[in-house]
Amino acid sequence: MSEEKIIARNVVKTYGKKDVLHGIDLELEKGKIYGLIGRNGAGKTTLLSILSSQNPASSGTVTCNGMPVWENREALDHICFSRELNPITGYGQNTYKIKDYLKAASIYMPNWDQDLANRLIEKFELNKKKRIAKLSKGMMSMVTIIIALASKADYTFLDEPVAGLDVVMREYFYKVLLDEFAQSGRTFVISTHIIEEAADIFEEVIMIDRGKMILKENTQDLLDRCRHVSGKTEEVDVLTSGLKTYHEEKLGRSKGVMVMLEPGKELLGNTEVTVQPMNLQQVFVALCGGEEV
Amino acid sequence: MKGLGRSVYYWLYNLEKTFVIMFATISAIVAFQVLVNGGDLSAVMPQMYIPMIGSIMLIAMFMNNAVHFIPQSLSYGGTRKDVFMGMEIAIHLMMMQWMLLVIIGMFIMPADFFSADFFKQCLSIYLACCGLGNLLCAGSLKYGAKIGMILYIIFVVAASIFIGVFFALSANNIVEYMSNGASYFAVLLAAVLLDGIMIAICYFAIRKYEVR
Repeated sequence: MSEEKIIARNVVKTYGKKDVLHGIDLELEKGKIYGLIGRNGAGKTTLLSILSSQNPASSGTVTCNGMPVWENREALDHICFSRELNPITGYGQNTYKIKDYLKAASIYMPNWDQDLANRLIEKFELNKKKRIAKLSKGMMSMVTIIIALASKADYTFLDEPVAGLDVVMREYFYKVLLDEFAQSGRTFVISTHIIEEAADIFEEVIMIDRGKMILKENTQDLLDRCRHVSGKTEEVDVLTSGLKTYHEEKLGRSKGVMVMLEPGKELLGNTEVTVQPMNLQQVFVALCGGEEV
Repeated sequence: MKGLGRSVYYWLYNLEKTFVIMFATISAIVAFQVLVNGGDLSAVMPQMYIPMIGSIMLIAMFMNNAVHFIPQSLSYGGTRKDVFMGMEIAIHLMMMQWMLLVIIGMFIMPADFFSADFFKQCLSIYLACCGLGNLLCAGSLKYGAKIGMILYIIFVVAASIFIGVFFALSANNIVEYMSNGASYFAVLLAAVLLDGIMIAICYFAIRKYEVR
């Protein structure tokens, strides 16, 4: 029997002359929460839409549990991609009432959990008769969260699930997500810009920059080997010589850089140089936010 | 339910709802006009309004499909083939439902209002409108809702003018000739062919459609 995972091989996506994804190779294992992070326009939503067969890849293959996902209803029954709702999207879903939107989801999704959907509607205090277009951004996020969680799909992708949610609801979402994860062992891929807040729930992080996957690694392992080195320029250069440095920041005679160490290695600072651990957001900014040195 | 069954259920649920809302609205308007005009239905609604209203409803449903239902069903994990087949089955059932209403009308309306020829003419017109609707759906999916809306207006105006002229000539022998025997069969075949070709075009548009 084939392994239970989604595998993407050399996925390329082109819109006209613009390459959006450049040869993505990715494996998503069962029973993990992945964080998918990247800047605006990096290709996160495009990647998720190809993994879920909502859109075709220009080239490359995607399989789910050994089955090709494209036009394969057996494979698609295992996948749910709950898209971000936007009041200005032109494809009309925002004219539905919430109850119609959920009814449609319940028809298409074979493992739909209506009890869970009802509980979440109550918790989020949503009026089912309200039209999607009349909802605030946060309420639209709630609807996408309900679809994703109630789908009970083995592989569930959420695109910006906490956009517009207040801090109380964000905390509630993370709690419900972890409860669901603990109970079901489903795989979640969460695309978000609120990185630091969600970092604790990501078992693995996938970073995309300008259509290329630059990193896929266990979150804690990644943080364990990333260091911010700052101090006098000459001292920093000496300490980091032979290492690849990222995101150089200069201030007078001082500078700061990020380095990624080999697993198990450590940098020792001195009185002239400070070596500090980094959080996920800082690592992301260092890798995707500026020119590599 | 599995793939195609789910898709057919989804489409029937949504299109029937759309149909009922449209039909109830039109019925309410006609009933009000009949009431105001002292109960004379023929004065309010000439015969040609039946195919005209049916055509506009069918074409409007295709517009709705392209803008609302196709993107939604694809984003919920329907395969393109299932979504396409579910849509075509459901919309042709809606067309047959409209024909059923015409048959019911034959029994409850004045004898000169509906006739077998009228039924046959309606069938050809509705099949041709399904063809136009499929083309509209394909255009809307490929070029966006704005182009779809322009096509919608063009098709509705064209269908209305055609039906208006056709029924204005009802006293003419041409209409009688076109409604009987081999000539009617040719008209029906042309309508079926138009629908069939446009169904194929719509399928290719759905295959290439990108959910946004």
